[in-house]
Amino acid sequence: MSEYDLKIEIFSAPCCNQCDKAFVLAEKVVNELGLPPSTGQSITIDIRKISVVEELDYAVALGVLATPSIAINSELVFTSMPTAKALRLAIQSQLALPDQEKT
Amino acid sequence: MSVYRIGDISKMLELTADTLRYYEKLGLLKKVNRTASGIRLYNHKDISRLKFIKRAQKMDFTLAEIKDLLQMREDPQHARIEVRELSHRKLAEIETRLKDLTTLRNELTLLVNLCLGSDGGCPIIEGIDENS
Repeated sequence: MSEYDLKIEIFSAPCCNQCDKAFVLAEKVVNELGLPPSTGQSITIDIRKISVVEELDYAVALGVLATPSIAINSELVFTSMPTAKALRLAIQSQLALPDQEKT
Repeated sequence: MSVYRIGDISKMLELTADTLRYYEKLGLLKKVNRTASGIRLYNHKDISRLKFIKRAQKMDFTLAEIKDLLQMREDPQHARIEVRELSHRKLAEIETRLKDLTTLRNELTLLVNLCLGSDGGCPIIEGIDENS
């Protein structure tokens, strides 16, 4: 049985309305993906909001220049609000899962 | 080819006439061409050299170091070993400073973008207040 980690970090700022939406979107997409999959693999999932004001050095080191930005497994993947499809594809790509269209 | 008087160069490069004369005295500038009546006439090579001096001074290079670097600039193939080594060291210093400036630029870009996106108040100031 393999074990993967999925860490989704939503870089956000105070009064950033889109940031809250990005967090909700990430949770929704992960739920819709039905993770962990029924392949017997164990996946640890972590979705968190990172305040760029409180963790400025980390945000800048990752390449964050605006919010919301989304990093998956410490790699900056989105520099603005993604679509649900784009986020799903990015997560699937990270976990090497086949593309699953929402039914 | 255009030539310029000391007053023109002083305005162009924001260096005082005294500074220009001083650089020439120190040997940072090659002997500047003069008219029959002794008026200095600066050409494009002098201007290029002066711009280099200004840039190097902004990096806090000493005038002695700048003089050596100017030798390298003039004839890199025949520069003394010490001058080559100085050039390498100074290049490393510049790379470090560029890296720091890039990080600072990215920090400020991020903070400026945050303020633009905020309807009420400035998250930068609020964030600083909360942390302090």
